[in-house]
Amino acid sequence: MTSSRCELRFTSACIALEPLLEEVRSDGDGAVVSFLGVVRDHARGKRVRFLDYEAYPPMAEVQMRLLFEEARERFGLERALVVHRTGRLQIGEASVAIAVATPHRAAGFEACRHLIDRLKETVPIWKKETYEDGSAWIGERS
Amino acid sequence: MKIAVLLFAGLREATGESRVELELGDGATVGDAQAELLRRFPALRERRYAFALDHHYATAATALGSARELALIPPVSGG
Repeated sequence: MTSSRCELRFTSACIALEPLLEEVRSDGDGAVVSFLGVVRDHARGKRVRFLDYEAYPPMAEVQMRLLFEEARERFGLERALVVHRTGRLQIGEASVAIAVATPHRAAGFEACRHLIDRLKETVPIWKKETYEDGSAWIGERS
Repeated sequence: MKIAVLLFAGLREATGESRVELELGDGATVGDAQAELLRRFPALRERRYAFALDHHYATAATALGSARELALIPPVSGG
């Protein structure tokens, strides 16, 4: 049996991927594909000390819903969980986790890739990088 | 008409405000709201952002209508 459920969540706590993999799966699925975005120690040629994420959750919800709909039309995606951190993150911590479950693997890989790529384009979440010598909201001046 | 305007990330830091209320004439557009914001916050002048009206992307020409919330959306950088 399969069910349909796509959801975006925000959390200020560390993201545990394993529970998401179990939660997203239904018995008709043969594939669970996941993506974890993690905080890197360098960016734009600078050493990064930590990141701060800010979101506009009600709009993020609406925009993510449009992306889930896109993925459903293109890849038949019915089950996905997206969890995004807010607040301060240290190097190596996960900023975003995506888990999708599909009957076959090809659609899972494609849908997961699509969701993270599109999330970065339209979902109102912002990242501030803090370096040894200052900080910057990313995307702002480019 | 009254509308709440939300400011995020670098725009919040530049203006020192995360939420402001505007009083505008009936039939006002997003562009009218922007003009009022620029008068109040000159720091917004050299900034890049998109608009969202009640959580959907909008343009300067979009009528505010009965919307409750306008947001200035600086370039997003989630993930």
